[in-house]
Amino acid sequence: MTLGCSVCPELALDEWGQEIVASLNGRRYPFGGVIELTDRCNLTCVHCYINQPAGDQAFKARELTLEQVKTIIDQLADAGTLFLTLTGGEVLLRPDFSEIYMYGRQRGMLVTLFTNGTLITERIAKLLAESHPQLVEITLYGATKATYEKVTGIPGSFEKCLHGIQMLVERKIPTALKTILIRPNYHELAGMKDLSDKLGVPFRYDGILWPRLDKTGDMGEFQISSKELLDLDKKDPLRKTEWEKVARETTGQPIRAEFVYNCGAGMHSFHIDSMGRMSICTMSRKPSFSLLEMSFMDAWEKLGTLRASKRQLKTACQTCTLGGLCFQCPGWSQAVHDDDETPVDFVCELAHLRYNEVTERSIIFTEEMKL
Amino acid sequence: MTKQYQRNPDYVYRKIVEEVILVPIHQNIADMDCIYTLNGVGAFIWEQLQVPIGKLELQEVMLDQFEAEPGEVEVDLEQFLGEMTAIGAVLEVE
Repeated sequence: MTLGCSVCPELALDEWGQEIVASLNGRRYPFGGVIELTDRCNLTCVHCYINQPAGDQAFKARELTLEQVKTIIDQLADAGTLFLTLTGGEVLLRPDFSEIYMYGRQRGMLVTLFTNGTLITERIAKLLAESHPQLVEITLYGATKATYEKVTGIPGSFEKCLHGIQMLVERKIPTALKTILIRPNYHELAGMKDLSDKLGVPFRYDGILWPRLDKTGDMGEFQISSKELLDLDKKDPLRKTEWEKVARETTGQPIRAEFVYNCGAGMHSFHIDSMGRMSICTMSRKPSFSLLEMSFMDAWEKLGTLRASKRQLKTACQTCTLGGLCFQCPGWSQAVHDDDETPVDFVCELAHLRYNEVTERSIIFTEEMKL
Repeated sequence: MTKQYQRNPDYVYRKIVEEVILVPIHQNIADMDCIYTLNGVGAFIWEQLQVPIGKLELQEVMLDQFEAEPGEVEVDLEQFLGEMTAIGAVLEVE
């Protein structure tokens, strides 16, 4: 028997997580997952892929109940899930949010919250101060009231968001800001970064819009162009370096030649929607398996079979060597083409332009490459 | 009165893959950026701490369970309890 100082080593969470994943040697394990507690939101953002009206009774009625959410969390805990992300819609619209959050914490989960921040009250801030989340990630829609509320459509939402952020920061609750860059707020990226710096919290952005889940509306008018996205990357040394690393490490081989899923979806993570349907990730929602009809582990096993799915269609992806510079995936194909494999032009074009930019070589995106 | 030890209920024992870890629930008892792992012996001791237990009794239970010299167990148990009480995972109770 050896006890000694290795009995209780204190490890940085990131380092420990990497070691654990490495120890799996390619084995699937439900390390972390997302639960979407509602599709409803108090804001009406023009670009959102999921938001339904806050008062929509039909959507409200089909959401998981508190007891159902608790039962699912119990199953996740038993399965060994450590990282749980609670998101929406807007999670804080749920009157039982505090109970759900604390239940996850009491079952030993490290919980991350995705929220717009406008519904953070003293009570919620106190709860989070008493039992820290791993992170609260708040989406900022602009650096000024005019822009923010042009996106959200709700007067007064900018002040509420800032007040919410302030309450978390004052209590030293781990907080980060992020934004989705769209045509109406593109010009305020620097302002949003400055705001985050002043608050002393990390900031990140994404510039690619996701089609709406309910297939309503056309968000193309809000999408910034591929060139604008690349220009932003060029100005950001960290992002530029990261893309160069991806290019070095992943290009040159046709990684999408055989299997439908080439990413990490369903390997160590999963997604559960507001009705309790579990899918391989937030983007790829077909197929999904109802946790009201089967256990989490049964659904997890079913998702595992998807990982072995082979490609059925002949597409340019099979011979493409752009690797991780391209984020073409079954989720994108499902959202745009209702299948798992058909490439999405915008995604393909962006990958080619990014390759040219990062490698200073030139691949021309042509119509022939699409099929 | 002899000092006894008991788990702090604000720490949750989890088995993740093959690792046994302690997850603190409340903010004021640990750094959320860190994770506390237990080896097999540590996990065994944690099991015993479900109810208040004295150091001598713990030593006896461990000697029953593991092949080890009493002196070695005493030193290692002292260290374990010291580390665990320092992070607040184990409470000293009267």
